[in-house]
Amino acid sequence: MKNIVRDYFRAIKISRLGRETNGLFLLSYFIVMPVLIGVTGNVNFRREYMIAFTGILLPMALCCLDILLRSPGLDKMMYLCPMSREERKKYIYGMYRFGVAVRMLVSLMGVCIIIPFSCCGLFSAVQILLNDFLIAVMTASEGSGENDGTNKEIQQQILIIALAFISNIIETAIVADELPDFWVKLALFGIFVIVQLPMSLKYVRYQKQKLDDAVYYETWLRRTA
Amino acid sequence: MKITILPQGTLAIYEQIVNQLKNAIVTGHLQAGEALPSIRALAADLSVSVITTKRAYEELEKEGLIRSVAGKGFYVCEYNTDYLKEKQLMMIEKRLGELIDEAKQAGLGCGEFVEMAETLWK
Amino acid sequence: MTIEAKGLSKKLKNFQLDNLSFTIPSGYICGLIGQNGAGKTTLLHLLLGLYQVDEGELLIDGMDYAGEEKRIHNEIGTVLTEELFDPSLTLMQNGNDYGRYYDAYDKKAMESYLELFGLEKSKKFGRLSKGEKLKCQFAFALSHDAKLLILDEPTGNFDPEFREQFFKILKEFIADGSRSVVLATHLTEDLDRMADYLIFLEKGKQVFAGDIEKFRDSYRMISGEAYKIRLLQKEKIIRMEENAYGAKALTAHSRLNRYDRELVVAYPTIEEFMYFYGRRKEE
Repeated sequence: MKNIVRDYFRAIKISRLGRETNGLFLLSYFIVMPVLIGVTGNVNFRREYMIAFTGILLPMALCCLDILLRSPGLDKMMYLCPMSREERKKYIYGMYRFGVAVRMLVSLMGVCIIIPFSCCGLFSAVQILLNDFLIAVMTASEGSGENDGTNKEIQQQILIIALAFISNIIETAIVADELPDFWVKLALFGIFVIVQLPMSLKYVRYQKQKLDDAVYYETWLRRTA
Repeated sequence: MKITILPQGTLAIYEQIVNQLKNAIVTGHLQAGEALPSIRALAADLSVSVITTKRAYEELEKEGLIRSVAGKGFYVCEYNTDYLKEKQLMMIEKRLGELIDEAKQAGLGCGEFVEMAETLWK
Repeated sequence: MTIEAKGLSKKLKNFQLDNLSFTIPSGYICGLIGQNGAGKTTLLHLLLGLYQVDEGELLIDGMDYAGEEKRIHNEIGTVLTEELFDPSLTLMQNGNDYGRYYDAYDKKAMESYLELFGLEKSKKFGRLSKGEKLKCQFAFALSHDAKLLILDEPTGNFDPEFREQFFKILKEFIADGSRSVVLATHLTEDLDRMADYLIFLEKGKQVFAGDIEKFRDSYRMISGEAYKIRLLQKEKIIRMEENAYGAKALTAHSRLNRYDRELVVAYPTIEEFMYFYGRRKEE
């Protein structure tokens, strides 16, 4: 257990920030949009809005950042270390699942911050966590972008994140403005089930292929070249 | 016992080793029954390939000068000094014959040839 | 640690390694030579199990990677030109971290090799010079009782003093006859001295693979007057070059060959061989 924790945090590579310009652009949304809303909407950076932002949107931004800074593939040295194929697969999947758990934990902590609000019922909390989960299970796209597959993947990811983001922003408004609008919440959930979930399921299948490719140096190299 | 290896040019390294070991045996520097360094130890000391010292020892074994004892290494054979000396003399005679042919071709007379030999001997 | 390849082939995007067959018995140093792009790195990646074999067979001590990856990796120590260690960790941390995957990793051995090579064990890997990084990786490769060392161009970044030490260590490594070394290098003078086996690749094909004495028996470097060299059998001349002072030719040799007494017949150094052989098709 200690090893997984240590390996997980060691696997963060700040150098990836230089390469992942797409992701950085996406991240900036998390800052720009809320600020825009704060300025233009009649929210005016009220205390409730700030708390809602910290509890809902900040964890999302952190999760995206975490995903960007790591890769499901291993360092070259790890492919040389004595490990059977099954052990390496277990290691890669283990790190991945641990990552999902860590990100969900952060989301959960965020939700706990906004629970005191009376209008943040169980429903909103669950909706927020569901949106966060769609993001938490992602891995950063690899490759130079010349690869056709990579571009499609990035497009898919952007869509999934954007929808989750919008959904959560609306939740933020609900929580901050104390709008206990039943129909809005229902609509959000409906969109989640009908649009977001199928998209994510398709993406998850692609995801599994990626993790399987990471088990061998050669297949991973082909993906990231 | 010293073995000097000249960087290979016209004379193969393994031949240099064979010749120097042969000389050592004939002149008595290496006694009959004496143990030789292992193939790897010799290679490490001379800074040459193991394959090369292996080949040198195989040559010497073929000529009957050394023998290998399983698990123990290489030893100088009990040999007949006279026989070896005779072999050496035969080689010298052969090469002398070749030189004499060349000298005749160059138009050298017997006397001049002997004079040349005497001068170089000193 | 024997290495056996039979009809080994590997196809990459722009390159093909074609039909390599060789056997390197245990206990020797094998030099891997060839120009850049000849396939040395590809072959090394196959030996390291990083690439999968497309066709043919590759056995390391009778085992192949498809079935016994973990066992083979346990026995291999590697130094590659790229940095394999984590730059943010210290040398000992790197060693211990990766060492835990090896059965026979010895912390004390790692410490003593680092000390022997003049490296500070608590320094961060990222702060070392290129040569020091390679030395550190070499120290690690020696610290888990490896039976096979695979080294990719390590010596270029070593100072001359360390190069002597490096070769001394390699010689000690193979001393008991059960371990082997594969050394890919451009610095062929080192191989002239001490390689036992040679594998020479050109554009993905095997030019020569065998022991160094067989190599020396197979080729000659002839110097002398150009017309005398031309009198030799045409098929035997691989490449001849002339200058104002005479001519030099690389020839194929067999034991029955006789040469004009005025020609100087010598053994080619590996470098000479590579140079002349590489230009055999030129005018």
